Amino acid sequence: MDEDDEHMMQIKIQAIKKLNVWFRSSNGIINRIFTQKAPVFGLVIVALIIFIAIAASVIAPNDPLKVNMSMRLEGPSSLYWLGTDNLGRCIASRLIWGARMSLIYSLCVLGLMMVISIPIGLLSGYAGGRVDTFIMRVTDIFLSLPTFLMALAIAGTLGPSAKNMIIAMASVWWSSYARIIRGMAMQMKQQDFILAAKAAACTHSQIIFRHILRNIASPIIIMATLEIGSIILAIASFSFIGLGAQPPTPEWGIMLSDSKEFIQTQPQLMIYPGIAIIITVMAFNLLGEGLKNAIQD
Amino acid sequence: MKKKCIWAVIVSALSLVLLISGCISNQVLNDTQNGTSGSSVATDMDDSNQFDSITIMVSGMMNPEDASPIESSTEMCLYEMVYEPLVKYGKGGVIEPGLAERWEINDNGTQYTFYLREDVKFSDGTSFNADSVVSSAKRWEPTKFSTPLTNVEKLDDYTVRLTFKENCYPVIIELTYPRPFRIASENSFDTNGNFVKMIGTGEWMVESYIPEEEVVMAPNPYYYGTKPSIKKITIRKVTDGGSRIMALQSREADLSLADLPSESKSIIESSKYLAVKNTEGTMGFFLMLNQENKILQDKNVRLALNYAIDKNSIVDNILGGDGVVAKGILPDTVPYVTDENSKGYSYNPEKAKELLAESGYMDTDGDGIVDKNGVPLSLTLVFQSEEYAAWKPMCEYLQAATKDVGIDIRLEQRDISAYYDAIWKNRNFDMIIYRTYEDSWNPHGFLRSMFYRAESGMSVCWYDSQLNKYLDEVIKTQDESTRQAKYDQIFKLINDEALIVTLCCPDKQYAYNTRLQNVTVAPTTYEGIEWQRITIAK
Repeated sequence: MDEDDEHMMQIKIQAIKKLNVWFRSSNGIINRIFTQKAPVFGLVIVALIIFIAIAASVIAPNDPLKVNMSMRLEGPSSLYWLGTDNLGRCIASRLIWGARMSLIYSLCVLGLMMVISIPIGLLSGYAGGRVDTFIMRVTDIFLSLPTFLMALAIAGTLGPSAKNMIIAMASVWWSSYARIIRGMAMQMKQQDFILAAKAAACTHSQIIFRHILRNIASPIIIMATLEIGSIILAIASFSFIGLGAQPPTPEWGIMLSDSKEFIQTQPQLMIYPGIAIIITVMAFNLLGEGLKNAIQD
Repeated sequence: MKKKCIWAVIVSALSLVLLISGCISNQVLNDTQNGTSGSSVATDMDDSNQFDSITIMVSGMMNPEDASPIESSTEMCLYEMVYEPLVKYGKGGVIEPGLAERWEINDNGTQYTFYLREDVKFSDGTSFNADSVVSSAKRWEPTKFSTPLTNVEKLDDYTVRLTFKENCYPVIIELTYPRPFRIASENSFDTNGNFVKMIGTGEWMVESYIPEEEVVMAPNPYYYGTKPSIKKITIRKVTDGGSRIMALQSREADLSLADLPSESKSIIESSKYLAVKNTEGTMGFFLMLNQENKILQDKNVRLALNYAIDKNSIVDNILGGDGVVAKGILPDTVPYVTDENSKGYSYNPEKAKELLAESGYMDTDGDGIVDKNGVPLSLTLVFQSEEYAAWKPMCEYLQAATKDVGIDIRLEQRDISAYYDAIWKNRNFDMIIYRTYEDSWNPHGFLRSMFYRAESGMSVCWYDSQLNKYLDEVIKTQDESTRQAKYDQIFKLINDEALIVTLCCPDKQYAYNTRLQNVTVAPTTYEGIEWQRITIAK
C-alpha cells in the first residue's frame, strides 16, 4: 500500500510540474505565447473560427443548402450578406458552415492520424531492437512516397467521398508523426523516473501510457496544432478536384471549384472562399509556430 | 516551421496571381475593344494562329494511334475528317452520295449495290476501289448493323454489293455513322490485322500528334473534292470549360467544338472578336434509372421524380436560355418525335407528393425525407462535369428540387472514365445523368442502344419486353406511316411508364474567333463545322 501511495504521490507531483510548465506565471508556455504578437493574433482568429464553427447553425443567416433559382448571382443584401452563388444559395451561410466542415474534417484526419501514429511510435520507441528496426523501415517506405500524390491515389481508388478522403490522408500522413513520437519515446525511456517506475514493478503498459505518453502529450498537441493549417489546405485541395467532400456540402474547396466557371464574370464567388482558406490556414500556422517557439525557448 | 509560412505565402501568392490574371485578361479585352493596343495582342499570338492555320478545341479523347475505324473512344470529329462513309448523312437526314456515287437497293431490301467514285485516293497515295471497300467491310462487326451483314462481294472494280439478313430500313443510315462502318485503307492495319495508323480518303489527314493533347491535321493532297483554304488544323484537347473560354479570349484557339459554360455567354457577347453559331440540337439530357434498384421499379417513384423537376427553371437558369425543355426522351428535331407521342410531365410537386404517398412513402420521422418501412427514399445520382459543364449545377438543382417532395439524392461526381464505366460496365449507380446520341443515331440507333436487349446481354437503360418487341419490329417496317405508328407506340411507352427522367435539350453552340469567315455548321454535330468552307480574314 505504501508503495502505491508513494507512486500516486509521484504522479501528482509530475502533474503539478507539468501544469506549471504551461501556466507558471512568469515563464510558462502560455505566458511566453502572449508576449509574442503573431501567435496571439493567430490565437484570436483561431478562437473566432472555432466559435463560428460551433455556432454555425445560429450565426448563418440562411440554410446553406437552400437552392433558390430565382435569386441566383445576386449581390450582397441584408438577407444574403455576401450575395448568392450560381444556384441562389447564400454565400455567407456556406462560408460559415464551411468553417465547421473544414474543422470537423481536419480534426477527423488529425485524430485518425494520431490513433495510427501514437501506438506505433510508442511501441517502436519503447521496444527498440528488431521491432523498432522493422517499424522504422516501414515508416521509411511511407516517408519515401510523395504524400499528396499517394493520398490522391488512395482516395481515387476508394472513390470520392469525405470519409474516404479522411482515410486516405491519415493513412499516408501518419508516418512522419510515428517517427517523431518514437524519438520522443526513446528520449523518455532513458529518463531516471522511468527507471524508477521499472524498479517499482510497473508493467510495460503502465510505463508506456502513464509515464511516457503523459510526458510527451504536450509536444504532440503542439505538433497537431502546427499541422491543422496544412490539413485544412489539403482538404480544400481534395474537395476542389472532386475527391473530397461531395456537393452540395458547404465546403471551401467545393465552393472554389464550383465558382471556377465564374472566374471572369463573378470573381467574388471564388475570392470569398479563397480568403477564408488563407485566413484560417495562416491563423493556425501562426499559432502553431508561436507554440513551438515558446516550448523550444 | 518555415515550411508552413512558405505554404501560406504560396497560397496567397497564387490567389493574387489568379486575381491579377483575371484583371489582365479583362484589360487586354478592353484595350482591344477600344482599339488602343492592338500590338500587344499581335505579339501574343503563337504560331498556330497564322493566316492559313487554325486551332480548335475538343473535350473528348484524342488518341489517333487508337482511332481504328471499328472501335475506339476517340473524338468523332477526327473520324469525320479522316475516314469517309459510302453514303453521307445530309441536312434533315437526307442520304447523300459519299464514296459511292449512287446506290441501288433490291426489291426485298436486303441487297445494297454501291457504285463507287473512280477518282478517289487514300491520303497515302494508294487508290481506292472495290477491294478497299471489301477489305474494310470484312473488318466490320456484322452484327452491329440493325440486321446482320451476311455477305460482301465485289462485282467489278468500282461496284460492291452488301447483303444483309433482313430488310431493315436503318441500314443505309447506319452506313453514314462516323464509326464503325467507314472505309479505311488496308495500310491502316499491320499484317496481323492490328490497327496502326489513321489512313482514309477524307479531306484531312493526321500530320502529327501528341496523344491526349493535340492532333495536327493537314489537307489530304489526294482529296477529290474542293481543297480547303486553310492549310492546318490543330485540334487541342481542353477538358475544362473555363479554360476553353480563356483560350478563345487569348486567341490561343479559334473555335471550340466542345460545350462552353453558359455563364460565359456574357464574355463572348461583350467581345468584339468572338461570335457564336447557335443551332438547334438533336440531343437531350436525361436521367437514366437503374432497373436493378427496387425503389425505382416503382412506377410512382419514377413519375414523382418527373413531376418534381421544374424544367423551365433548368433551361432559363442553368442553360441561360440556350435550349428547350425536354418533353420526351428526344427533342422534336428528331424524326418520328411528335408532340402527341412525347407529352412529358410538367412541374407539379403536389402531384409528386401524392404519387409517393400512394406508394406508401410517408415522412414518419419528420426529417423531410419520405420513408417506407423505415427505409428513407434515398438515391445516388452520378455525374461528371468534364464533357458538359452544366451537369454539375443541374444535378445540384435536382437534389434541391427532389428534396422538396421528400426524395433524398446523394450526388457522386466521377471522373470521365469512371463515369462511363458506371454506365457500360459496373452499373454502380441508382440514377446517372446522360445525354442522347445525335443526328444519324436518332431515333433508332439511340433507342436500341439504350433499351434493346438481344438474347444475351443487358439493356443499358431499361428493359421492357413490350418495348423490346416494338424496337425489333420498327426497324423492319418499310411503310412510312406504319413506322410512324410504331414509333408513336415506342415513345408513348417510354413516356407513360416514365422509364427515364427527362430534363432539357441544349442548343448546340460553337464559339469562334471572327477572323474565321464562312463558319458553317455541318449537317451532323459529329462533323461539327464544314472545315473546307472556312476562310481566314487577312
